[in-house]
Formats: sequence, structure tokens, C-alpha cells
Amino acid sequence: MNTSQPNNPKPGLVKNLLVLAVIGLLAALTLTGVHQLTEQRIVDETQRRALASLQQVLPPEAYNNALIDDYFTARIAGLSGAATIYRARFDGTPVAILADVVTDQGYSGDIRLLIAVDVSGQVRSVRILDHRETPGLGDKIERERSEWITQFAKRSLGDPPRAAWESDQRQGAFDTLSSATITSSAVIRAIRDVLVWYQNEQDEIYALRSEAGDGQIEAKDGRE
Amino acid sequence: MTHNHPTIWRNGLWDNNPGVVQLLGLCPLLAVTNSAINGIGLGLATLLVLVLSNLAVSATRRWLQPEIRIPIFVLIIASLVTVVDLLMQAWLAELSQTLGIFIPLIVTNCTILARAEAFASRQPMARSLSDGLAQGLGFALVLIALGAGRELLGQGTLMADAHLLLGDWAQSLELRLMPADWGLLLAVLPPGAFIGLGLLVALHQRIQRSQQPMNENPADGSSQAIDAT
Amino acid sequence: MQLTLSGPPHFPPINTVGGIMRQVLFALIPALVAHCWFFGWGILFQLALAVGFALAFEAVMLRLRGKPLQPFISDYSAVVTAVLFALCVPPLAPWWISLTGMLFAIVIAKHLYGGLGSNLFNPTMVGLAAVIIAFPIDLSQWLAPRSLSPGLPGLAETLRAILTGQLPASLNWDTLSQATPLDALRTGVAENRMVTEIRANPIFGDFGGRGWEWIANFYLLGGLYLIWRRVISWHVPVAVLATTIIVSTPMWLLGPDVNPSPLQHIFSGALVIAAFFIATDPVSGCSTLRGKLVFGAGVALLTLAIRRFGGYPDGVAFAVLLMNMLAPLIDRLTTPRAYGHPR
Repeated sequence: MNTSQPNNPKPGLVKNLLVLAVIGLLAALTLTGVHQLTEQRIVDETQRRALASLQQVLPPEAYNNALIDDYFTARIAGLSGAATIYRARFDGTPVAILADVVTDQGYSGDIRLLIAVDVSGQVRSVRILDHRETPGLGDKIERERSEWITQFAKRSLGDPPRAAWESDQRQGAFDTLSSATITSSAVIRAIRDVLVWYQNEQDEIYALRSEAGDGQIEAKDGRE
Repeated sequence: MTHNHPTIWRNGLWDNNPGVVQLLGLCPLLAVTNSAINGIGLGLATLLVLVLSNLAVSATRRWLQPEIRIPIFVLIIASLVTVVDLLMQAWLAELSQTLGIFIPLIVTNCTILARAEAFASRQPMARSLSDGLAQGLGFALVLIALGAGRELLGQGTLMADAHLLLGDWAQSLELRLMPADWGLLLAVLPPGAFIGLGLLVALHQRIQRSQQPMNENPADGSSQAIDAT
Repeated sequence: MQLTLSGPPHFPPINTVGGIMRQVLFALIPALVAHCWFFGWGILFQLALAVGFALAFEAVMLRLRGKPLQPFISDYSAVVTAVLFALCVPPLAPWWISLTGMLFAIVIAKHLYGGLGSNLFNPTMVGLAAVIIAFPIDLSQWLAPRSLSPGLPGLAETLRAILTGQLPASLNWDTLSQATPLDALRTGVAENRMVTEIRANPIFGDFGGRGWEWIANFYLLGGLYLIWRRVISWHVPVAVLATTIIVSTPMWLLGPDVNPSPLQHIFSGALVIAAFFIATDPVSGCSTLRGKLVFGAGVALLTLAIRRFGGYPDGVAFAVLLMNMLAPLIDRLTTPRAYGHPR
């Protein structure tokens, strides 16, 4: 093989250090260059994705404020951890809230949902952001896998009455995914809890100061 | 050992394929291959890193003493993976999101270190380029075969979500070969990856044996000592 | 090569593969009759389908591997695999459940690993695990047992349901089906109801699930027959049942509201059939006596853990497969010292 193998270790050491330094420097330069090149695009992409995930439940034409920056955190009875509430407004008039909440009542672990509630207290749309339910059973809560999650649109606490916000396997008003009663029920109750919270707090929700810049978004990821 | 270009290609693509013979880089191989496009995405990213690292190692090989060889390899590979990761985050954001942690984890794919150590550090650049391409393509082909097979069995489609990699025009590439309801859920779940890879390895051995019944000599012993991740 | 020998008692000399398998089939007859009584005709069709697919795959694979059809096809091993599988799937499961299950059991678990005697995993459990993961909904739709059902589906309706995968218009799942006792328990505990309260549900019988407990009793009977005929040794079943009792009793005593009783554990789901008929598989299980005890204990522990924490209601299939992987290691660590040899 053509690797040179000098017998004298002393000059080898210096040479080795030099080679290490040069290659390290080259690597650092390359990385700095690529970082400069991509930094802005990556930030933009991250923003775009966060917004796109919110826009699953609220079309972009429905609001014109900076949705991503108009939020606060709240504790909602029945749900685990702190929920992030985004507020959509059109020319300053409240349109809807988008609640990013987590329920721990799923069949295997937490389910994270995004729930849009109109000013009137009506559900606009619901999507599942994250879950670990059994494939083929509980994962039908995802919009990509079934229509089930769309049944909540335009429903509110009066329609059906609060007590009937349950799966029909438990004498409630909503369809149940077959063989996934626990999962279905967890989602239905999470929506109900958000609606109840909204009803109790609606006078203050749109008046609260936004927490943008407080670093709450990071804190949210760390919760259980 | 002869290292002419045809042998190098034959080794990478078949005789000493990283996926089904050396069984290297199994973690990403099993984790992301639930669709053909994921397989292609990770396959190309790995190929790119492998080719560049082989070239870089081969180009610097005359200055690399045994004492600093491994740190240098790690430095080179880690930098290249970071570069690929950043580029994908910037220009292939959706795909990068789907592949997730497995792009940064290319750095732990033993194939790359194995080729740097066993081949590129001893061979001139042209052959190292050849070797990187051959091994990378061999790995990518296994990823694609496994991804396509699982996607077909599990969802009845091929090349679904191709626009994540190729841009919007590629949405028409999606091919539906059977109704989604017929899909075998098992195929797209993790057990399907293990069973699928097992079947691919078995198939490879079956063909290998029927071709050269008495040839006991493994094709390229140089990199077989390095264990799978 | 190192040969591993168990101490006495050795198998009595009647044992050809076919002989053992026939004994196993005899031992399953009482449970089969009970199954038929509680859950209707479905099991008979499941049996016919599974045996048919199993023999067909067996024949194809023997041909592909260049082996003679005789004596392998008539050694009943494929039949036993199929019968055990049929007993574990819901009676109205559509035909493709059997097809998929037998494909994985006979083709992949048995023949791709080298045929009977070389299979690392128990074929029945591979087939069952495959269909549990692939068709979770079909696998969770059990009929309500006879005494609770408004009327089990008739012969023709059963056949139609199995062939088309859809219930005839006259029937519907909501009235026919019932969560299995294990499912009901898990669901109930998840919403903070007490076990005693959950057990008021009529699907629960005296100690297990209604109907289920009787079938389990007949498995027990069949298993005891096999032990008496020395087809299986007592070690594995005893280890499975004893471990289940030892582990679940303290939990039940400490928290009777959230933990099911040991009897509940044993008499629901597939624990008893696994203890006597599946974990005792001489090929994929352990062969040393101490190894068998460890193997059985492992199956029971994993089953309890999966029932409590897993994503699927009954974990027996997964537990057996996981222990199958450990079996060679357990055998190696428990090989008795040969007389005169140092360790």
C-alpha cells in the first residue's frame, strides 16, 4: 500500500497535528459556508411548516394577523400540560382560537391535537398532530387515514349538549372508531374540554397579552 | 487483491453489497423504507456522502498517519453529513422532515467508515470514486427495493409523495397498482421491514448459491470484519 | 457440534412426529367442542380454511425445496399449526386472515427456516402475530358467547361472513360482537373504573370471561392428557401458570381496583392454550428441564407486561415469539453438566 510510514515519531507528531489542523480548518470553513448559504432558507422553511400545520384547521384567507406570534399558554382542566392558544383575527376582529393541546387518555400514550374554535364557540376543524395509537385501529384518528376526525366541524357545547360529548359506545353522540373506543373517547373529551374552557374564559381570551418572544414555544416541547 | 473497476462495481452492487451481504447501516435501512421515495431519498443522501467521503479520504491519504486516520475519517464524514443535512433542510424540507433523524444518523452508517478505512485510504481517487458510487448505489438499491416492496404491499402504490423529492411535477409519478384497502398493514410497520430485509437477504443468497455452487471464497474479505450498527 | 440431552423421563418410544401430532389433536377436541358451543359454527369453517391453506402451502414449499411430499405432508405438523391458529382467531374472521396467517406460519416461519425441526419460531404464533398486526380490527371482533348473544349467526350466515368479510344485512356487529374480556378490562381501567365494577359486565363469568373460562378449562384438560401421555412435560405449563399467579397475585392484593385477579388473567385470552400447546413446542422452545421452567416463566411475564402496557390487548403471541428468540441462549446456559466433565 502506498501510505508512507516514517520511522521517526517526533516529526510525525508535528506533521500529524498539522494535518489534523488543516483538515479541521477546511471542514470548519465548508460548514460555515454551507451554514451561511442555508440559514435563512431553513428558518423560512421552519416558519412555513409551523404555519402550514396551523392552516390545516384554519384557511389562510380567514385571518390576516401574524397568527404564529399571537399566542399565549394556558392550563385547561382535563388536559395535560400547558396548552398553546393561537388567536386568529381579521383586521383586529377576533375570528377563532387554535388550541394546541395534549391529552394523556389515549390507548398508548399522549395524543396531541390542534383544535380551531370560532368566536361563537363552534368547532371549526380538528387535526391530530402527534400520537402513538395502535396502527390500523387508533391511528384512524388521523385525517389521512379516515374521515372520522371531520365529524366535529360545526359542533359546539350545545350541539350536542355537554353530557353527550362522548363516543356512541358510551352513550354519547359521536361515532366511535371500531375497536378503538379508548382512542375515540380521548379525542372527543379533549375537544369537549377545550370547548368548556373556551366557554368559561371567552371574555378574556382575545384581550390577553401575546407571549410571543417569551420563549414559550420551546417550553411547550418539553412537557410530558 | 485486484481492484479493477468491474470488480469494484460487481462488489458494490452484488457480491459484497452493503445492505444484503455486509448488513451494514441496518438502522436507517429498516427505519425509513416504508415507501419507495423515502428509500430513494435516504439512498441518494447516503450515496452522496459516501462518494464525497471516499474522494476526500483518497485525496488526503498520503498525509494520513495511522494514529490520526480514524479521527480524520470521523471529521470528514461528520462534516459531509452535516452539509447534506443542512442542504436537505433548506431545499428538500418536506423530505428532510419525513426522514427526520436518519439524515444526521448517516454519520453512524458503518458502510461509510468501512469504505474509507478498507478502500479509499489505500486506493487512488478514480478507484475510490468508483467504489463510493458502487457501494452507495448498492445500498440505495436495497433501500429502494425494500421501500418499493413495502409500499406496494402496504398501500398498493409506488412512488407516492414523489413531489417531496422531485418537485411538484412528480405528483403524476404516483402509480396505484391496487386499492388501498387491500394493503397489508404489516408491510409498512416495523415488522414488515425486518421480514422484508430477511427475504431480500435470503433471495440474494439463493441466487448467489445457484450461480457459483462450490465457490466458498467470499468476494471481498476486506470489510467484513466491521459489525453492523 | 454439541448435543444437548435432557435427563429422564425420556419420551416413551411410541413417538413418531405423526404420533405426537395426533395426540395433540385429540387433546384439542374437548376445547373445540366447547368453542363451537359458545361461539357457534365459525370455528369449524376457520378450521377447514386454515388446514386447507396450511396443507396447500406445505405441499408447494416441499415441492419448491425439492423434498418428497411423503412422509412430510402427512405428519400432521401443518395440521396442528393450522388447528391451533384457527382456535386463536375470531370465529367470523374473513378467509384472508387464514390465508395470511398460514402464509406466514408455513411458508416463512417453517419452510424458509428449513422445515420442521429447524424453525426458530413457533409457526402458529408467527402466523397469529402477523394477522394481529396486519388486521387489528378483524382480530378484535369476537362474537358474544352463546348465553349473551341474541342468537349466534346460523350456518349460512357464518359462511357468508367468512367468505365476503361482510356481515349479512340481517346481522350487525354492534349487537353481535362484544369486546373480549381482556379488551373490556383494559378499556375500563383506562377510564378509571374499578375492576369490580367492570366485572359486573355480563361478558365476565365466574373467574374469567364467560365462555372463555370453559374453553380454557378444556384446554387444561387436554393439556393434562398430553402430560399423562408424556407428549409434553409438566415444566413449561407449570412455569407459565405459576408465574402468572405469583406475579399477578400481589399486584391484585395491593390494588384490586386496578389489577385483574390471577384467575382473570389465566382464564381470559390465550394463556392456557399457549401454556400447554404452544410454549411446549419442542422445536422452538427450550429442551433442558431448567430451561423449560425459565422459558415458561418468561412467556408468562411478557404476556402480563404486554397485556398491561402494550398496544394490543393480548400479548401471548408476542411473548412466545420473544422467548423463542431467547430459547437457544437459555438452553446453552442451563445445559446440565455431563458426568465427569468440568463446567
